[in-house]
Amino acid sequence: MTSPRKCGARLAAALAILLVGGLASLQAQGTGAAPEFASLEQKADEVVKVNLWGRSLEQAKRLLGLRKNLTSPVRSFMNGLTAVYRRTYRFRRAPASEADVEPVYRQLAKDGWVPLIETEDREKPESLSVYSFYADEEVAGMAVVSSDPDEVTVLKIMGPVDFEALSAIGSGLGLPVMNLGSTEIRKLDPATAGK
Amino acid sequence: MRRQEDSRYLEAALRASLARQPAPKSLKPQVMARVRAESRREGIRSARARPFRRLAPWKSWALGTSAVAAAAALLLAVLPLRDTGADAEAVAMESAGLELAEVLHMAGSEWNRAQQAALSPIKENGND
Repeated sequence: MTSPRKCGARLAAALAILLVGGLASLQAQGTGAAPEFASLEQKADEVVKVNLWGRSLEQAKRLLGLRKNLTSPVRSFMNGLTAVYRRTYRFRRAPASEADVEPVYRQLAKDGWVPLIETEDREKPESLSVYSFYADEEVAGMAVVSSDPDEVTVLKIMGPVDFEALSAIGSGLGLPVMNLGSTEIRKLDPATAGK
Repeated sequence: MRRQEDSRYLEAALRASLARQPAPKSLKPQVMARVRAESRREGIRSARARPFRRLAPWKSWALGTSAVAAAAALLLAVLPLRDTGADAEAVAMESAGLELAEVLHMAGSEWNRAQQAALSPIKENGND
């Protein structure tokens, strides 16, 4: 028969596991969640929001995966993505200040994002920061914050990041964007297109 | 239906059989009344079991035509919806693909710009 002391110890261990699991889950939710910046949204004249995860991301990956000239590292990097978010705030009436962008940096730091590269131009009020997120000592996400008085953009890419593949995409190699869409959609099997 | 199962045939056969038998005359009407009642009940039972058997030919045609018309109307109503759904699906897919490509391009070019900016001060210092 189990003694009350053993029972209590087991209960405490179970509670501790639940607590640690819950905290980890909260942390992961904060890291991988869609970025929302209410103050920037209120001030901006134009807001662009892109949320790609789950079914929409799978559809996008399948569509881009049909491209013939997609390089293998780009394909592999793209397949590993779990969520992609974009927030662009455009300002026409009142320009964005450093104070407006500050909540973005604060939120990223709070969620466990580590700055990789931070650049600021002293002559122009522009800044560009690249953040990464680590899980089990591997890059599990990347965030980019670029700001100038007219526009603030936050990009969040969740999943193992291949920086070389990303660099190739940025140079216009590996993932050409022209003529994307309808021709590829037609190639997909209609029975599985919606899955 | 077989001839032996036809209640009219059975009634006629029984009537002939009773006529041949030396039974009292008073009994014959009673037996015949019972036979008629039985055959009437049988008729009702068979009509219940096979409701369409007793329909007039024009009624069967009317029923069949209306069923075909209803099915056609249903198909006409559903098919355009299916097409609209497939179109919406394709548009959503195209849009998602373009957005993903655009975000990856933006992230890639910003990553390249950040790398260049991070490396440029080192080059400047080296030249000094």
